[in-house]
Amino acid sequence: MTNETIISGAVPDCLEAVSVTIWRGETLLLDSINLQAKAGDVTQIAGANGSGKTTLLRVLCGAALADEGEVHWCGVPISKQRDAFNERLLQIGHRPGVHAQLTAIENLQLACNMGNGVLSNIDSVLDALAILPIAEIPAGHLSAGQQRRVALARLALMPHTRCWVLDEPLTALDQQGRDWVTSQILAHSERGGVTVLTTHQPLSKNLNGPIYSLDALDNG
Amino acid sequence: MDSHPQSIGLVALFRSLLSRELAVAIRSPGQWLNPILFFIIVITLFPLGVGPGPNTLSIIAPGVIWVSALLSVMLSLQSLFYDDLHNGSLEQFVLSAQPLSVVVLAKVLAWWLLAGLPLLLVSPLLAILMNLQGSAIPVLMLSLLLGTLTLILVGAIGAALTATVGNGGGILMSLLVLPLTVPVLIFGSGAVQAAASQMPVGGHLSLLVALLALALSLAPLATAAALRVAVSAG
Repeated sequence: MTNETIISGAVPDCLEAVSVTIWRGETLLLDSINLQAKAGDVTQIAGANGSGKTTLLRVLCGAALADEGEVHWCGVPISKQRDAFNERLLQIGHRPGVHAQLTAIENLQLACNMGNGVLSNIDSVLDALAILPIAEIPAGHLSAGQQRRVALARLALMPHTRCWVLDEPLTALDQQGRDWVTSQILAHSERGGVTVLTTHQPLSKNLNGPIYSLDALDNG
Repeated sequence: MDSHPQSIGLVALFRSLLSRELAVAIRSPGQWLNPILFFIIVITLFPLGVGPGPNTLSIIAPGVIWVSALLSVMLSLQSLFYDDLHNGSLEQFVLSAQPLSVVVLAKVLAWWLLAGLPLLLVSPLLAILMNLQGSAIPVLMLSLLLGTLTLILVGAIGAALTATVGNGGGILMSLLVLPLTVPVLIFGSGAVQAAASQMPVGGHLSLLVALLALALSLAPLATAAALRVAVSAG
């Protein structure tokens, strides 16, 4: 890991885990994790099933609390700047946040209203994701991959967000869907955004960044 | 560089959340039709069980109608946050920069429109069935208007606290919330009894207004805090 001295006045965006420790009952799930996700990097968290990837991501975005340690955004604990951090955060979790009784459009309209997204772009984003023809059907009737696409449409609707925390964004997607997600993450990195994600699929070579393996940390 | 978009106002956000809740509820009518049917069925069974003596019925009418309303609201509330917790919407609400209490208020108002307002509308018919004095019916409706809103606001705290419990949540929620709802029951049925016996009802009704004001100002905050805990546990 390199130590960069920041010369310019503005601090670049950075999401950091500082000795994050999480217990699951009596078992130590994550032991003092230190992690730094920098602007422009795609930081990948690797590990076997059950190694705590999802739990770590939930702590990183503030959905869950660590038993010890803190998560910092630009050097300040996120617990001290809840609203400011949430405004810059885009999280797509293990559960997609898509209501089965609502159509794709209704789901995304609410997501845009909650997260200052661009409502007028919904149709074109759904078109790019090839789900515009089924956008008026309740999401519960769509396939897993199509529901995943509805959730991922938020990536294109909220380009102003600075910190993306994505849990398995490529799961259930076909090649065209994976390419679309990759292009969105690439564009976000080029805007100088922070990306933290987990995946079991190989990532495109265009996406650069460190890989933190939770298995290796266990062994070491 | 993208221009930073402006946040929509809280009123617009509230309206969009309210229409979402109503759209969801209209597509799954069982959730809010059941409590209304429960209310009607319980009250229509009383004349059959107690016997149709007009005097007996009119004495017990205020209590029977109010207890049925209380139970029907409590039974309906268990599932208030279940779907949103399990499909991840609640996590998105918690992680947004918008205040969670606005989400709670929108949910409460939507639920009242679907499961509270209908009780109010059928109550005159049931009051006649129970031989309640005609002059007490406007007071019954007014007390139910104030009372059901308070009950749903208070019940939402319990629903949020027990959202992660699963099947046993209903009983636990009733245990937690019923003590808090007793004042509403006492002053609600008290107002109707007073009206039926030509006594002044101002005192009872103003206490119901006070309870509503208290619930309206504190319950959304408490519910939002409980939802944050539910999301972080889940």
